[in-house]
Amino acid sequence: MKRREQKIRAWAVVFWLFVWQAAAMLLRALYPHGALLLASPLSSLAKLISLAATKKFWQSVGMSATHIFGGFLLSCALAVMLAARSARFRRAEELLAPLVAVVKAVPVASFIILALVWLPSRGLAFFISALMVFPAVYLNVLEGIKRTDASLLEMARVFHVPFSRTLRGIYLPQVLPYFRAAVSVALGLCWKAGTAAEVIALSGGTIGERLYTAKVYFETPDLFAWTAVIVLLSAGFEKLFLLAVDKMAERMGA
Amino acid sequence: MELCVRNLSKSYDGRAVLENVSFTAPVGLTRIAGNSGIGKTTLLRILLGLERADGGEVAPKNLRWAAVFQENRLIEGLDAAGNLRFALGEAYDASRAKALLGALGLGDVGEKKARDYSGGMKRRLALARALLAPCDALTLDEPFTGLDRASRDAALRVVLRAAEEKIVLLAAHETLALPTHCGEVKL
Repeated sequence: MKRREQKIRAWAVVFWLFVWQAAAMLLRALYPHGALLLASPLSSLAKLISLAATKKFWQSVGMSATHIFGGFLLSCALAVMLAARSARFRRAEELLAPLVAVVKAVPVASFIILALVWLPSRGLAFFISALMVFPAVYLNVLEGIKRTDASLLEMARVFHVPFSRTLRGIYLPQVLPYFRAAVSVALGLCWKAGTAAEVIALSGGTIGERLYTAKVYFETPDLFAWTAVIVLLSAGFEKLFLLAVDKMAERMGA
Repeated sequence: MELCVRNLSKSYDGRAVLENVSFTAPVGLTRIAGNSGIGKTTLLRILLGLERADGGEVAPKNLRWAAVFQENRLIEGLDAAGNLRFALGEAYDASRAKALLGALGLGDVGEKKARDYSGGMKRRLALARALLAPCDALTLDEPFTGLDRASRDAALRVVLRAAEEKIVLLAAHETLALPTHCGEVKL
């Protein structure tokens, strides 16, 4: 049976925006402070536009993006390096297996609270984002390396192909699809976990802090506007990063 | 230059695949003959250094080999030039490659990726890769599989030309019209 490709259609988005608007209007009509419970899409959009005009908005975005994306990049690099080691040495894989299993199983909230004890609140999003990315990228890249065509590696060996060319011509085209799949999941995850860490740690000058402030003062449109910012940033970073990975894969003939 | 194989033995799980195989192969074409499953591929893999023999000797040890494997082993996402460049590196010579691909009937493939080739085209590209590689000796494991008569004759011609200056070991199960001066090893 042919599966229908799951796509987000514009008409469906418009439909849900109407539902949201209707619900906000209904709440406002029913309760005197209904607007505090649910901001309408229009007031959220207006708030987002007014926030985007301020310097503080861009400073918060920059601060969170640096921490979260920085943690993501560092973790990716570490995960790829360790996956390469694990694929080469069974003992390394065995040594890392319990650690990866723990990172996968422990709830992110526990890590955030624990990390608050060890780290300054500013570095928390960096650490949490790195932690969220590591298992997915490590396990997928390891799987990709293990599935590399052994017959092609033999061919490279017979023809005395140097490792740098074998890496580019055989390993990378094989591993990139696995890396792409991991990154696609991990980027969304690290934005969610990273901003949650900022909220809990009240990291100064970050999106998380602005979200918390909005909640404390019942500034519901701000809450929705900042949530939209997180979604947009997460989707934007994911698109850009995957585009770069796809370009690389294209150049390698994967 | 002469390849000398003495008392080569190999077994898998106690089942002997090669037993005391001995032969010499000078520069030129030597056919490795024998029924399917007799150990032709195992012998070639040992010579290429991809498997260890249980016993016996191969001399000289410093021969530089190239090969056509039983499978094509091409990088499917690359075109002909990309595959040749990958295997040959700095030894890749575009005009030599073009001439050989032309002689093998692959002159018009352009930038088509190997994944879009027919089985016969892939086989010929794998053969071109081995023939262009700088080496002293070549192993060709069923190199004409999937080729029609005309393509097989053209491929055999270029193999014989390569055999004028290299040791070429050819494992092929089909009947081939080989010149009388070619050697034969029966397994």
